[in-house]
Amino acid sequence: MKKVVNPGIPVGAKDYFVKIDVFEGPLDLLLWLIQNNNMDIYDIEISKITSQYLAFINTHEFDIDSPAEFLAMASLLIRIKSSLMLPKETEEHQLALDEKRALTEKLLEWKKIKASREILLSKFRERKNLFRRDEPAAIELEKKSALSVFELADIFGRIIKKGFHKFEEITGPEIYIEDVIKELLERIRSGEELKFSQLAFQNPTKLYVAVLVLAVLELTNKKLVTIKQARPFTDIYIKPVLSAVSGKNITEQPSGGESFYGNG
Amino acid sequence: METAELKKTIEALLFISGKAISKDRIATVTDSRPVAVEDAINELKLEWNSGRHGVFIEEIGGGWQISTRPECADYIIKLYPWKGVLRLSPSAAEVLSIILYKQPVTKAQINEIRGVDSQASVATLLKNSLIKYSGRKKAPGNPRLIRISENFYHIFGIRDISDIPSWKDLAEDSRSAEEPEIDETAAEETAQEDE
Repeated sequence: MKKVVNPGIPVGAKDYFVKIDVFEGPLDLLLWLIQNNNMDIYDIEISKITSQYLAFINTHEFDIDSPAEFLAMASLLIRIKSSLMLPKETEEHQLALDEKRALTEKLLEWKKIKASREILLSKFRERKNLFRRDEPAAIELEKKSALSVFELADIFGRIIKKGFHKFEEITGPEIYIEDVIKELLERIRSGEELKFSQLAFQNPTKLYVAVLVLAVLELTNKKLVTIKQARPFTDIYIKPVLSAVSGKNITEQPSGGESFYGNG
Repeated sequence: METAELKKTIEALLFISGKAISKDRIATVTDSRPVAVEDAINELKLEWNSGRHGVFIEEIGGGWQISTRPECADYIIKLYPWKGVLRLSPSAAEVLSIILYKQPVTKAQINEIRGVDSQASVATLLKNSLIKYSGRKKAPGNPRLIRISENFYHIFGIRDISDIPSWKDLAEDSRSAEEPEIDETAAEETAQEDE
């Protein structure tokens, strides 16, 4: 989340502008709201805080870095708020009180971590100019990566120039499912019954057999052929579905190119 | 070992190590009593830390190390530009704080305390050896446990745990029931395990 100026929450009579550096997460926002309202952290006024919290995330939905976490907190607040409205004797009311206490604990813990963060940051600044021989190799902690895409491209370019210019394109036989389907349809049209093993023998490579399987499944799916196998591991017979094959639409069937792999 | 010789030896050890060595470790290596080591180091400090030298001996993470003087920083960075690159983001400092006070912790515990995912910060801190994995938690999935590492004490100039407020003292109005202490052995441990 970026810098936020006046989060759009009316703060009592004084509607002043507040500048906050960063809300690291839902706890940060919640803590800020509590402090801003001079509320006792041990006795959070849930309904007031909930409405301000919701008002904030509604007005800043596009600035929020991790919406899921902010929304999870919102739903927790709403749950506590609604359960607290039930009569005191109810189990829900008691559970909500427990959840409210747990939230206070979390906020207190978070407050300490924030205090410690400030101490570490200032100690870090003080130490910036002291080195030792075994200085940790510096990797920027602020950015995700010290290298930009362009620098990376530059480095890659230099490596190639340095003599690794023997890059070769790896090519292999290209077999398209559309071609195989077309071939199968042409042969089937004559009413001939095809044997899977025969077809596979034409081009006994893994790729062809794999595409062949896909092609046959595709044709079955489109109800253009039926497949039959007497027992496991025996040959598979592919037969045309006559009513469909005699129709005109067969030749138009192969369509959609690569999508066949996904839909077949 | 005689004091003059011990001083010379410690000087050499601190120089070659390049990072902090604990008192006990020096005592073991030099076959001396820890008290003698402490005395020798105090004398070395008197000679070195007067301001006439570019380096000085300082106490870090429960051990001693040779550091350069701050006024020399500009020239060091001119010689080795990468030494000045380390920066610390607020979220990285937060994750470090959690690990410092709650160690050993799992990534899930860190996320729970912060209320947001901390994967990226943990990864950079690991890369910079400010934290380290040590062991696994006996829990479903055996998640890895994270601890502060030796580099941390140097980067933040922390002599020992008394340099950092206790968990109890961190924020004024803490009525929190549980008060986990900083792992007291951590500083000592890390200084020892590094050669």
